[in-house]
Amino acid sequence: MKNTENKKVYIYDGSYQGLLTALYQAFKLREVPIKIVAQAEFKDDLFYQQVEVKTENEKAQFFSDQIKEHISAQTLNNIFHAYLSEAEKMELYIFRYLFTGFKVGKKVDEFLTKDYVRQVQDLAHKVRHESHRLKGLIRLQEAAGGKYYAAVEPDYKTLVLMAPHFKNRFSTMDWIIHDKKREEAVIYSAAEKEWLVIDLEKEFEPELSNKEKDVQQLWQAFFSAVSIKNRSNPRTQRQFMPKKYWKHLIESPGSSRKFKIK
Amino acid sequence: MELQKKLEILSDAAKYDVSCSSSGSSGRGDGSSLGNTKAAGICHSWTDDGRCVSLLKILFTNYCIYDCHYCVNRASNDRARASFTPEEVAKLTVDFYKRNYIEGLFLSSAVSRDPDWTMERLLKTVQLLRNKYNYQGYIHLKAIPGADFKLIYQAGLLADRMSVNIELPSESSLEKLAPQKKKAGILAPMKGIGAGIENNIIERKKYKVKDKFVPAGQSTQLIVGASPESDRQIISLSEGLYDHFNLKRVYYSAYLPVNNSSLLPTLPGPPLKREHRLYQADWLLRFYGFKADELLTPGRENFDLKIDPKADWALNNLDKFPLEVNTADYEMLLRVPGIGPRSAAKIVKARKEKTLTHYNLKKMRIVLKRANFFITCDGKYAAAVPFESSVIYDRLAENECQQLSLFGSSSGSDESSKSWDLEKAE
Repeated sequence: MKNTENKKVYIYDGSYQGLLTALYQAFKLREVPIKIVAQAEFKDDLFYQQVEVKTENEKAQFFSDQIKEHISAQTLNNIFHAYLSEAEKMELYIFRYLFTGFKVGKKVDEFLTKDYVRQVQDLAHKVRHESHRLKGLIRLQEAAGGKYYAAVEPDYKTLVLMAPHFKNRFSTMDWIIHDKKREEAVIYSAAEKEWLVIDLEKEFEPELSNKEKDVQQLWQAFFSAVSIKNRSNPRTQRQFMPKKYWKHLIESPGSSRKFKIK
Repeated sequence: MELQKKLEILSDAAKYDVSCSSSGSSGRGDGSSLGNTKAAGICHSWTDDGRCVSLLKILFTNYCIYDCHYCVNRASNDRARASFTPEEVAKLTVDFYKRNYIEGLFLSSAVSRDPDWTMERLLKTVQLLRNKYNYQGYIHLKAIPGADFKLIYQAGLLADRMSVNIELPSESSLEKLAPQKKKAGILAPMKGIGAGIENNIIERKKYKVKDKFVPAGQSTQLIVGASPESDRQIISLSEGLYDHFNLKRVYYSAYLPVNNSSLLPTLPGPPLKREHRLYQADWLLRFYGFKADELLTPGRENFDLKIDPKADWALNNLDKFPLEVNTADYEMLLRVPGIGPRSAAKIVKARKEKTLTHYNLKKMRIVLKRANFFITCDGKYAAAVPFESSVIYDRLAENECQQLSLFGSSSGSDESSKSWDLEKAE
């Protein structure tokens, strides 16, 4: 480890390829950056030397192959998922995780007493967890024209993790899943059998099909009817389905307390 | 009758069946059809009673010829009745599925006209879904006891999971509370499905038969508290079902007084805590390598409501503890109260790198609240109480009491938690 005197801040463009390129550069030049930050997050820093990393796809690809070969595919997965968390300091944890990883190989995931190993694993876990949760909580609505639309506001950048699942499941439908927080969306076409991520402004709302309201009403009726009154337990309900996800649901949790059947 | 009204009546009538899982089956979809299944299962919503909604759980009809005392749909009950048509159920399932409301369909039914007729309707519905709508999502189907096994078998080739509910844990209770049902009628289809699953697995391997028969396995449900059976009888029955009938799951349903019948006990509320204890014990059987006769022995018929079955076991086998986490087998780690498969795996991994201390465990997010009383780390015992059964018991019960407010807190009808409150007040 040379050059520790000359402390550097790596700035990358915010993409995953960008992060991999930055990491590649650090390992290649045998530098330990004091920070690695996305361009959008960067605030002017007087004390350290700034290094702007230009994203290069070949380098990123090469580096991820190296991780797979010398550490493990699981580690590569953890890194990608931790990246999707967009958490503060995530890049540096990844750097240190890899630093140990290149030394000890795939055993790095057993180093649970090391702070940075745990941090990366925890972040990755949180991202996977939210993605799994949303696979259930996303609600599609039929828009005029027979396409389906869903809005979400996830904590993490989970769209790309969910897309393959929904492609598999709704392969014969055209659909859009809209991340309103990040103003992007996954769009899938049944004819092309492919999905891609596009920019989509927050205000976008499609016009719904004629029968959509009827189906939604049926669902609400079902949801209220299946809850057993003398077992009412709103706390467990919130524990599994936190309120932050309620906004884009069709059903209204808590409604059975007002709803009566016959 | 309007569809919405039917849906309200028939989902309301089906809600007492507690089975909800959508797991165990994977990769039905082939890219040209609607839907697929995920091995891990997905929950789509949670009702106000905290149970998950994974499947569209409905009865095909609630017109019933039987008059079982514990059931809301018994023939002599004055209730709103309705029946779907197979087309209505299929359409509804597809409409909900396309909007990602549900993971699939759970179709059950009261026995209307006769068992064969009812089973035929269920079969028709599933055929419509699979063939006409090209639907490849999850289907959980009830096998109707007493129906021709050929019908059940055909349905099994299209469904992911099938179940027959035993409901009452002993033959004498069945006779008393459901006199028109026979034990043989319930067990025969279960045995048939179990054998069918096994044969199908062999056939698929040997002869490359493509059709899967009930790939997600079969399950059943027992009602707890409607009849006098003890926890020991119930848990041994479950063990038998897992071992001999190849069941995937046994569900327990705390008895809710839905009817007035002199044959039924009057309870202040559903025995939710007892149900919880049975589920805990069930998990111990399936994932922790326990045997039913380790958990309860003749003479100790019921679980302690104040502490969980695993802690109870540990206190009765205190000679095996405290356990040194750095050297104990994985199997023994699993038996420490508060340590589950995930924590045990973490410990086994991490201790390869270094000798673990309490601080390490804490950092690894291993919950020590209960485990602390039963482990040593590098020879150190860190629970601030003497290693004595009665002292630990009190501490565990205290912890549990705070935690258990999660279960049935708002209803306040849980008999056991009430008596606990009284004790505290004194």
